[in-house]
Amino acid sequence: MVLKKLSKKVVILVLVLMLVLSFVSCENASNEETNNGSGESEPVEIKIAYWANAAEQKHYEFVAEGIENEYPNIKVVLQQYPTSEEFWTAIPTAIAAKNAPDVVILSDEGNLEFIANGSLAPIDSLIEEVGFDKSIISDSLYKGWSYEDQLYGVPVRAGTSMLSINKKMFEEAGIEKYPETMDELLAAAKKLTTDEVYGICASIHEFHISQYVHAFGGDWNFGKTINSPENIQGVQFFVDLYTKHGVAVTPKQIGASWDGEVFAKEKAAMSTGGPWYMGYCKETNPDLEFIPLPIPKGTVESQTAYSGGMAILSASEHKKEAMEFIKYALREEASVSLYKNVGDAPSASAVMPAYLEENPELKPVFENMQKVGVPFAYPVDTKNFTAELVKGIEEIIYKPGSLTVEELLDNLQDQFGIE
Amino acid sequence: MKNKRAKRKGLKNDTLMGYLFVAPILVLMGIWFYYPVIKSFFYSLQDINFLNPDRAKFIGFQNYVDLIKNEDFLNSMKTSFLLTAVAVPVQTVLALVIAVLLHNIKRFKAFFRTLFYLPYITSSIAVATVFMYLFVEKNGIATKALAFLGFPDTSWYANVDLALPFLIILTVWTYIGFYVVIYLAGLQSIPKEMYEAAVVDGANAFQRFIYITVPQLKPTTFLVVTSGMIFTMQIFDQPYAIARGTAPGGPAGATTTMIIYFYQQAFVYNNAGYGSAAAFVIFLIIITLSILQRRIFERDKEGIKQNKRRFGLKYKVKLKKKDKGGMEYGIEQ
Repeated sequence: MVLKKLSKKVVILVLVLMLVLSFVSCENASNEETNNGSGESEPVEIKIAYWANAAEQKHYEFVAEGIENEYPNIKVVLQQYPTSEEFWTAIPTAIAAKNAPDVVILSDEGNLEFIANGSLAPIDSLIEEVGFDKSIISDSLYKGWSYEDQLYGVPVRAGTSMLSINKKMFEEAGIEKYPETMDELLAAAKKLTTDEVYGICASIHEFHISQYVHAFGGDWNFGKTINSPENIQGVQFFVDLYTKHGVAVTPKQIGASWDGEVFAKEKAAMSTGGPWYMGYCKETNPDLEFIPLPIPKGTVESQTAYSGGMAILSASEHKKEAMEFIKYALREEASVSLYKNVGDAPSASAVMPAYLEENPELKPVFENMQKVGVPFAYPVDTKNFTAELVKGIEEIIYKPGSLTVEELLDNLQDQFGIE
Repeated sequence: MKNKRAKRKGLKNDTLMGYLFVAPILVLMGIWFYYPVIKSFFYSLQDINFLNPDRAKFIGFQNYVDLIKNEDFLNSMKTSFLLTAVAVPVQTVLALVIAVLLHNIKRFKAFFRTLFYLPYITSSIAVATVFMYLFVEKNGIATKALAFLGFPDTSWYANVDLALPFLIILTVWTYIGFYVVIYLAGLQSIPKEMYEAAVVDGANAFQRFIYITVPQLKPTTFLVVTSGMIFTMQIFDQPYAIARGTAPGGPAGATTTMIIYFYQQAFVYNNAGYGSAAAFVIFLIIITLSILQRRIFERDKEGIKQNKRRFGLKYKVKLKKKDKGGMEYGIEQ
């Protein structure tokens, strides 16, 4: 009886202790967050979120390395997402949960929604405060980060699109001339398509769809011209690669997670993509001989010009430290690492010539971008628009007769268009 | 009097102990389940975007009205119902047959039971990824085998007509082991004497299965069907894994179930309010179906008690006490 009473008391004590401990640990966790940075002597933790493949991850680790020597009050935590899709899904949730990172690395193709909703902080005053020299970056790249006369991000890489072709497959197929027009691209794709290999990887993704739209003189124009005749022509050409000519493949069809993987595995002879193919292919298939070319002309010469950049979230409690990180991340050796390890073009104009010297094959691509570069210019409700565009194109390709390109773009104009 | 007081005190202590034991889990459930559910309901009454939740606007039940008129949501309902209507009966029947076969084997029972259970405890993403390799065009083993039966040589998960059947196969394969184990437990509770009596009366294996096993397993079947329906209606991992980093629910919405639709609205399009409304509607649908199912099964239970006659065989088990202690089962016709 005594033992029974004693064991009951022990159990009660343990239960009460568990409850108390759980409350105390929650309290401690929130206190830690509050205290972090409150004292000037304690390092401030800056969380940086981005999507990255293996080569890019190595680069970002290098970017953050040694920051404590320059800024002893800053401690950097890197938060990598394996795909852009997961990044774009996770960050808004983190913002809503008040657990957002301080800095996000994203491309200007999807930043307008964030800027218009007030998620990104304007950084003009921060730039002055930390003494960041804006002139180290090509002026034109700031356009994609500006909205209503305020700057919302710093470009770190100059992005463009290109057509990657497998040199060996072209030689084996006896094609000597590389495609310079969309008609030549189609003819080559037909010749290159065999039982084992497709002529072109045309991922049903807004990035790739936009290449064909731009090549035929089209432009989303922030929602003003979604259903223009040029856009219809461009999307129709894209769709016909599947439905009419049977020369295109999506990554999913062959079990790949993205178009670069399809190209690196040599399952497609051509792919629209970008300079990020360089680093990825070097790591995945070092024997692959590929040629980067400007996007072929449809009715006009065109190529997407955009940039990847670093932006500070409005919810960040350490905006000054975040801006200091951005300033550190744009040091010359980091820009050199970007092109050496990832194969991306740096935004720093002083480093660009060295990049082009190391990657002379990309010179025509970037020269074309300078001449005819066009931004993505998606409507403000970007994610919704791109999701509906992709779904609509999938319906056209996989459910023939259910929808036409014109109907799709008319619907999108009604849903997302602006005057 | 003293005894009554002591008894009351004892009861009070027991009650206190009971509350203390459940307190930690109640607190955790409150934080991780009830609070988010209530918060989600409030979100469903607002026009709220995750990118800037401070700009939320109260709109009443407008989200619910928009939802039931939305063609995409209605299509996702159709996909979920189709998936459930095919996957649940298939996995229930297969699980029962496998459990009966396993129950009757003498050797390596534990080994086979583990083998069937393994898919259930394996990561659903890993299972989906492997299945995608099996069903990939040109080189997939399953694709090649099924091509002999007339199916096209194409990646099933990337084909708008085959993506849902692929999902059904994946779902059945993943969950069947769990239900086999549940049925095995149910089979062990059926008295052996019933089968012995049936053998004496001349029932063959099939008749014993139909007239003894199946009716006796009705409560287990109810559990299997209900939990199968709930799991399948809420399936998310598999359609998400099939998407492979692209927007889930493709191709062209072929695998957009209700949960995927809710996920897209809330986390891809950041329409937290509309997505929350979708989540509540899904909850109401599932709970309604569960209640309906329970009513149907309870009505059938009454039917067993009335001893329906089929093929001239009728069994009723009556417990008879032997004179010298011990019990015996007697069969009355």
